[in-house]
Amino acid sequence: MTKRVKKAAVLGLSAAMAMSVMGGITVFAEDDYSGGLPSDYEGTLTMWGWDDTWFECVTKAFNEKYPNVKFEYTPMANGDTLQKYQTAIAAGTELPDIAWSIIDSRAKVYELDMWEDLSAEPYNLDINEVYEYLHSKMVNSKGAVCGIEQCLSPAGFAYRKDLALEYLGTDNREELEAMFPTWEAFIEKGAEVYEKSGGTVYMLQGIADAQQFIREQGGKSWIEGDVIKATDTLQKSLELACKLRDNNVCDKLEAWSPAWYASFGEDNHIFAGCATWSVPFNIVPNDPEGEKTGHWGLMNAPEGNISWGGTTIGISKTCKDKRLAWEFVKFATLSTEGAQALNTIGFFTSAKKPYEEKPELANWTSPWFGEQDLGEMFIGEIVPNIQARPMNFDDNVIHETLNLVTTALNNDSGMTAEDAMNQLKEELEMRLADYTVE
Amino acid sequence: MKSKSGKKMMWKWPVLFLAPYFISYFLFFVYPTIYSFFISLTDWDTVMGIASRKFVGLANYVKIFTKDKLFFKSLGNTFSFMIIYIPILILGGIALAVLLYKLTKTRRLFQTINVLPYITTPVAIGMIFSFMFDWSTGIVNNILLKTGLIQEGINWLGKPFTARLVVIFLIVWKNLGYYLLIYLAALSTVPEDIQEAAMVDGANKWQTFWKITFPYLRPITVFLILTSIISGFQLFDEPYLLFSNMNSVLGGPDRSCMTSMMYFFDSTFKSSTKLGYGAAVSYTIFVIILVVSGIVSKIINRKED
Repeated sequence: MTKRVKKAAVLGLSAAMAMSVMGGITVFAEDDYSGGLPSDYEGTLTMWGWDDTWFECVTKAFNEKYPNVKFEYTPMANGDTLQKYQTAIAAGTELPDIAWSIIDSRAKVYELDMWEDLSAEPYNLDINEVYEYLHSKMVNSKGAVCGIEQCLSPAGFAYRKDLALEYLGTDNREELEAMFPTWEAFIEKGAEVYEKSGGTVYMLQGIADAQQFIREQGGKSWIEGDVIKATDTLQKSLELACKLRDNNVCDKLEAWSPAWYASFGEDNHIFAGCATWSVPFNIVPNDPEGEKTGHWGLMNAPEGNISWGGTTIGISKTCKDKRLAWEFVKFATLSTEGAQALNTIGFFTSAKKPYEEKPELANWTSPWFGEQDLGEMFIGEIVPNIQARPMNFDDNVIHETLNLVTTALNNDSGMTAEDAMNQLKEELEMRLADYTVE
Repeated sequence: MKSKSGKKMMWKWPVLFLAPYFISYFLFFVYPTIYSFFISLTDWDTVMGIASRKFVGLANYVKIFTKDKLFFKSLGNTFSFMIIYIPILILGGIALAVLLYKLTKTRRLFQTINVLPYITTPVAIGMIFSFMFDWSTGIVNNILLKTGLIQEGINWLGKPFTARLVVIFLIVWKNLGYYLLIYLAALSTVPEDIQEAAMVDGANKWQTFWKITFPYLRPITVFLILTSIISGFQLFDEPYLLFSNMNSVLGGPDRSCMTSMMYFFDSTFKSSTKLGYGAAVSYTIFVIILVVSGIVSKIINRKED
């Protein structure tokens, strides 16, 4: 009897083990977030976002691995992120499972009580897996990692080779970089180009395009404690804006306006700020000629390159299937499979490992840039040298106020850098009354 | 004879049919109105969370009236828009209606043409105007340059004065059709026999219009002025969209086109997340609308007496 019981027990256990091995795909530790999910895992993830290309590319690749996972995607303007999240929280309605955050409003959005800390249990993200310059842009004031960058967004200068050859005497990248070590040199040459072209060719589309770089270079924080360091961090930017205006270095196109987009296909501007996303979003759709001629080049910007834009994805506290959400976030941002998918659309994930495992993923060329390896330039040259400016809660207000002052500078040739600084301080004191403006 | 229970049922039916309206009215109007007043007495900041919300009494209102220069700037902008565009709309509406009223064949065509902007979505209008008045590629500058009226393009949306002009032009263009429709309807109520009698007595067209037609249009004009003031304080979509591209600043150059509603939206949901302060701003605007409408109504009615 005992033997029979033992035999039955052994048989039963063996059968159970065999079944668990055979059906291993359905057995996984739900609390263990480090491993993968069974390939037949079923679930749904919701997202509100603005980058359809990224979403389609990544979810398609994810569905190849997990075909039973569904995505519910709601398009949202990136400028509405803060408003949408805060009203959902205030009204107690559902947030998306995977929450996106654009850099412009991120400092505020990350302070909302809605994020899972990805560096804590059970996710245990090691932030060092991600490129260093992004670290400060993924963390809130309490030190919680609220999201991981969807892609790298390093930016240098794109240039039109044909125009550079005609007006600057060379289309060689190294020679151009040597020609423009500083903004002062850029301004000096810009004045010559304007004169030589009879006032038809400019270095950049607008002052705002230069300002985008000047403000971000150096990595100095705009705010320290309750002090806005206006003179220390922004004086140079206003002085250069005046010189750019007075020397006709920049055209008068409003950044992101239809005319600005169209200018990528025209022959009036030699340079343009160029982040990874600028190629598919700005250059390719607006310059059909460029595909045949490959007349674009990518170079280092005067006085250094910057991190331009960027969107993180994180997991909201109200997410119903956090295990699945984490699997998706890992896949999209940290995995080699994710990097492989993104490589097809000219994007690069923010994790270092995929490019160490498969260095060829860091190579990417575009017909618009001829033979130049843009991936190598972005990842190999630009990323290691970016000095990212730390995020502050009220950066968006300072940024908007700077735009106000730049518009005024652009429209009033009599306005000096001192006038501009006074206006900036006055506006900031009005809008951010709780700070001291220095 | 009806039974007692039948009478009871008679009493219940109106209640039953009216209940959905009153319930909805309470849920979606009365409750939010009272609740937002309560919010305005707190320091609720969505970033800090509802748990840290504290009652601060009238502190938000005190701050608005003592420290917030931007609020008064936005209010001043709103007033300056209204002072210019309301008379243009009223006079333009009357003039167009009088011109079209006597037309027989083409009246419907002109009526439709004038009403089309009114039924166009404000988003589209804001975008179209931002294209039209673009400094370098806009059609307005192109026409002016080609006809030799100007030597170099005007930065319509880049300078405070011209940006205000564009906003006023946009509002007039969009709303004139509505005023025209209302005045056309009002003109049909003016008794023709009185007008004919005046003509027989030797009154000319101008005298007939001024002494007979215009007084008949007065109630409609009062209605239009009051509703224009209310909607004027709520002006948001058009100026907001006109300067909506990524690099534009709130309210255009020097914040010259920032209306009080834009300021409310920005201080509550965009630049900052202070729901308590935002609610106080919206209540202040509400009280100002109430006071201004009351004053204007009194002035007009006194003149009528």
